[in-house]
Amino acid sequence: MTSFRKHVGKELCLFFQFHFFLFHFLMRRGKGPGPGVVTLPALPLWLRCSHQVLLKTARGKHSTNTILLLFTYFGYIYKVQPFFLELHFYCSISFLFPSRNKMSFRSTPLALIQLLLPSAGAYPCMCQIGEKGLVELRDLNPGVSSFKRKFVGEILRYDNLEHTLRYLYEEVMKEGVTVLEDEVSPKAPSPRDALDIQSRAESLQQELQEVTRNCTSFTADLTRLIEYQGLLGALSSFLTPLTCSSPSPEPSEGIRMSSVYGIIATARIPSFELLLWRCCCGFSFLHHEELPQTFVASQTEKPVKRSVFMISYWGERIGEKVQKICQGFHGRILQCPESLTEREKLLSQLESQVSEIKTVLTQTEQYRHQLLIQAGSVVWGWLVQEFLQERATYSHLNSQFENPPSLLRTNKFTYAFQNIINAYGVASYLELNPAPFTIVTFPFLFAVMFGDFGHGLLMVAFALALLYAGKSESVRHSTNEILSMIYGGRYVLLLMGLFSIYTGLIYNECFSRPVMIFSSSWNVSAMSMSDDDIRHNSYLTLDPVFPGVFNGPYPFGIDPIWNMAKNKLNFLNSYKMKMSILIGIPHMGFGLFLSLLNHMHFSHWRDILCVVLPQLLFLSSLFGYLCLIVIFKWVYWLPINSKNAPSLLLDYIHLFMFQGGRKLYGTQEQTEKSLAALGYICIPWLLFSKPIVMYISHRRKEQRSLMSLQAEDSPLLTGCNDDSEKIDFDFADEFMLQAIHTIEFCLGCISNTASYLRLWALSLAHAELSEVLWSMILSNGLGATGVKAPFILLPFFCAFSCLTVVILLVMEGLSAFLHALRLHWVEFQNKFYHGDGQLFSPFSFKLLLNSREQTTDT
Amino acid sequence: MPFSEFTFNVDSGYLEGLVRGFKGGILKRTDYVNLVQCDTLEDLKLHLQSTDYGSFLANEASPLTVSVIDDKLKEKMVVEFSHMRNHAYEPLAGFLDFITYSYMIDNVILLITGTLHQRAISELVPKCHPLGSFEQMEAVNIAQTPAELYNAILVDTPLAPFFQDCISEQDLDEMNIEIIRNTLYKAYLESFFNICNQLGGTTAEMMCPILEFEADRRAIIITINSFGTELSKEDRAKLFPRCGKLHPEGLAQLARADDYEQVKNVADYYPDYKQLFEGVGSNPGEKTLEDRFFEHEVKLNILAFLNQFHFGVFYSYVKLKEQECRNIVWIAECIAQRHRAKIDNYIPIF
Repeated sequence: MTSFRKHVGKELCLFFQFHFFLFHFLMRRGKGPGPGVVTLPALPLWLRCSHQVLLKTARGKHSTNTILLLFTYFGYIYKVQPFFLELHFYCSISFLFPSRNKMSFRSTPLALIQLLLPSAGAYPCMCQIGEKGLVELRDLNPGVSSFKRKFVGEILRYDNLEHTLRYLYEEVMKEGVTVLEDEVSPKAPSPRDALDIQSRAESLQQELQEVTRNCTSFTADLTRLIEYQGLLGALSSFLTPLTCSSPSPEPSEGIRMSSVYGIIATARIPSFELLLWRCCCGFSFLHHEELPQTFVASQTEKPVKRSVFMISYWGERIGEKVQKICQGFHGRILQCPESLTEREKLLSQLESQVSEIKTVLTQTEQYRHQLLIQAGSVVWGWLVQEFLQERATYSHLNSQFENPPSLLRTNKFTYAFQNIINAYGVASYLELNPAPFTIVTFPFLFAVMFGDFGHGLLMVAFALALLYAGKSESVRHSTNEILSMIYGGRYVLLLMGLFSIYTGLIYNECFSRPVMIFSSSWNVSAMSMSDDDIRHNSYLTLDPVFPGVFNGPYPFGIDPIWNMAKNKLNFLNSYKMKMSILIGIPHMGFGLFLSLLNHMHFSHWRDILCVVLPQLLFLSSLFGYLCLIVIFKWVYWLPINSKNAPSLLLDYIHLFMFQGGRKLYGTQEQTEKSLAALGYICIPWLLFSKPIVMYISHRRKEQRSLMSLQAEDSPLLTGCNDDSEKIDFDFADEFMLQAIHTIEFCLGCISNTASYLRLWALSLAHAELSEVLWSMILSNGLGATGVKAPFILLPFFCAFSCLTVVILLVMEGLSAFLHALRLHWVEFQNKFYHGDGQLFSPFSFKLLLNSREQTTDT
Repeated sequence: MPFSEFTFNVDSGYLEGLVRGFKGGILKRTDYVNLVQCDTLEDLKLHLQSTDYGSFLANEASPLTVSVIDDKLKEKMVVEFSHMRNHAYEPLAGFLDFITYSYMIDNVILLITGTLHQRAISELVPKCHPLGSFEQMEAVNIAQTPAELYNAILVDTPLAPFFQDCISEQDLDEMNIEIIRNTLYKAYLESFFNICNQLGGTTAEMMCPILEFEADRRAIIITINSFGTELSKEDRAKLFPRCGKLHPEGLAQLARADDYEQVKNVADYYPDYKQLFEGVGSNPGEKTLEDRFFEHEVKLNILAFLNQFHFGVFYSYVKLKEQECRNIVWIAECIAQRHRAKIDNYIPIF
């Protein structure tokens, strides 16, 4: 027994150190002053700005932060040896968290405030609210369609302004001018400033539009001229082969060959040519040549290639057709003088025109650039204000009360854990938030299924790499869904890895190999066998009863000798199965305990007496007792008397059947009978008490109201009393509901306990899979000797490491993650958690701007 | 191909998912109720913003007109359609192309009629449906006769096979254009019907009723519209698409019909169509025959979404979207012209 105490002390010490370090670390990282919850700290600030404010607060009761200790048992045993139990104190102590974004056990109390504002004061008030970003607004006219609300005129005005600003912003962005972005929380302009901004923005827009229009028309002119130049340049190459083949078109034959010159988009040439050929029945020639320049199409603003073409044809009618076809294909027909000298004259003319336009264009563009820089410097601030419009409508309030939203404060560490809970359901207002407990229990349950400290180290390394990578902006704000998801859960990964190292050390497995940190406490030599026997005997039985063979428990975790044992699996299975039960039942019990706290917080005394109390008694008398006898058997039954040890399974069945004849300990029969009786009594208690109590109180209420009716005939008083208290009560309904709850709970206790056995199954599967990987792959490679050994080892090692990552870390990790998730969502949370609240979403310009940026990014 | 549903998702699963997503964005009855309440086109814009259309009108300058709305509605539909077309494999790609052919026919006819009335081609092109535009479209006006139209222009387009029945040396006058349109449509519908039958499976099962109805509707409308024109009964009979339920007895009777009552009598033999003719009239509370046909078409198209692994959903989506455009434009017109009496005459889809 002394050794037990010693071990427990050591373990506790270690664990406290670890946890304390963890919390200390968190605390250090947190900003802000000491504890203390301040709701709506900035309230008076914005109240000042509006005239005639009537303030009505319905301030919620402040919850005191309770310190809760969660006990998780974790026992292990050497075959039938004195055990050693350690207690881990997982203290999610709220005051150790940084106070500003600290996670609390309940959502932060909120106040429902009714503001009565004159319409003139509504705007500045809403501005202040939006800047502070601390208040969630209620839409009190949800049925009214958006354009029938009070401030429609203003909204439309801001709509226009938004349109103007968006135009400016896009132009600025297109030009690549940097916009001055404010990181600090944006300020909304006052209504007078808003008008000012509007007029300035509009004049800027007009100016910009004009300049842009000029720019585009100049560019179009320039393109046209360049095309013309290209045509004239290309013409010489068209005409020379023609003149060579037929030196002079002979007018005497009566056939006059005419030509049309023009420009057309290169992409349309093939069908153009085909159509020409079809329509003109071959009486036309098409020459074309692509221009080297790339032009910008006027409508789509995409780059296009254009070609110069020359069509030669005979006959008037065909000429008409050719003209029409050119028109149809958006070809531009240009006049072209036939003689070389005229052409050259024209070319030089064009040259000068081009240079003129170019200078004008550069000047215009410079001006435009300046305008845009000017716009860029102010546009960001203006963008803020467009968001006012949406919310201005909410400012006329009526009184109405709905379920308040839950404000759950998180920081970057607790964020991911809170998300795990929120994925199931957001805590109702002031309901106990399971997230703080999840921070410890989730990685722990994961690690029980993923116990291998080699794998844990890899996971920790990965999480640390993520933390390090988080320094760069691109990773933090990545739009890649998978990356951002993994990055969001980086602290979960870190804790999962750390806990896996811990459980891996207890299972004594590192890539399925045990590690000899201390020497084994089993001794073969004490068996007093001959050396020959030991060497040639394939089955050696080490009997712990034999003095000197077993020297007390291994200092920490499982003795490495078990890895060589033939009955390793038998031993581990029994150990892990009991461990699962020892973890699961307290976990569920803790859930019930939280439900008790919940009801106490809301002062639901009837529920505590009629529901929670019988539930707690049922669970602890039948299932808690199971935990106790498991531990008792570990402690009490030593190797010497282990042959006579009773079977726990049979004992437990006898407990339910009220049968006797057991010998685990002396007063077992009486104890068990009374416990079973207590458990059985709990069922009718749970089933009947609540409906009956409800029925009685309902009857009493009815009688009271009847008496008051008889006593005084004032219809005014009784009328208002009755309305609030007349609640429809149907005994049969209540009874059915309670019956369903009872059946669910009682069966749930059994099935949930069985469900916790997944801890055993998954850790077994993980251990076996890594064992297989080691023995089938890497040990083959390690077997090689000599010079060639490295070359043989290399491919084996590659395969081993790849498979380790893919199967053991990713696949097994995901499956353990899912099962841990399920254990939390179903087995733990269904004991106390409703999760039908909604998140607090404050009206804040900053959030609105962020969400806007995200939508524009994607 | 038998059991094609097993392999359908390999090539077309993504697009079917997409089109079903798009279908979710089609305006519901409640949306229409809200739209009808609008007082100005700006209100309409505000309302459409809260639907799947989002901010599709956000960058339009302030005095909004119905034609701008119409263009933007069409543009959105064309963007969606061309996205699907660009990601489609055969045979879906061919099927989607076939959907556009009907718009191509409309465009060709529009352009020819326009040129006949001495309109400039640049004025006509914006009126064409963007889904049916093709490269040679704008050169259509050079043709003087149907033969020329075919030989020079349409021979390179997918419309060529439909055109073979109407090659003649006659001039293009209004009557002939109408005949060409209906002949083209007839050939188009019949070959679309055949293609759907060749595709077989659920596609045929879903598409055939829609196309049958389309064919019968055309036959009935052609008959009704031909009363009082110089179109002879023999010519009229040639224009009836022969893939509907009316074929062959109903069509033969339609060919003999002289007035509206006789058409109605023909429809009485077919329970589906008999229903449509009931309650038709121009009095308040009654609907026009055209609207009744549209309603029936919408009903058939909605049915296509009840089955999976077939191409009918794409056709139905395009048709429903077209109907939605018509509805919104109708409501917008009523609002713009302050003519609220008939604003409820749109055809709700879901």
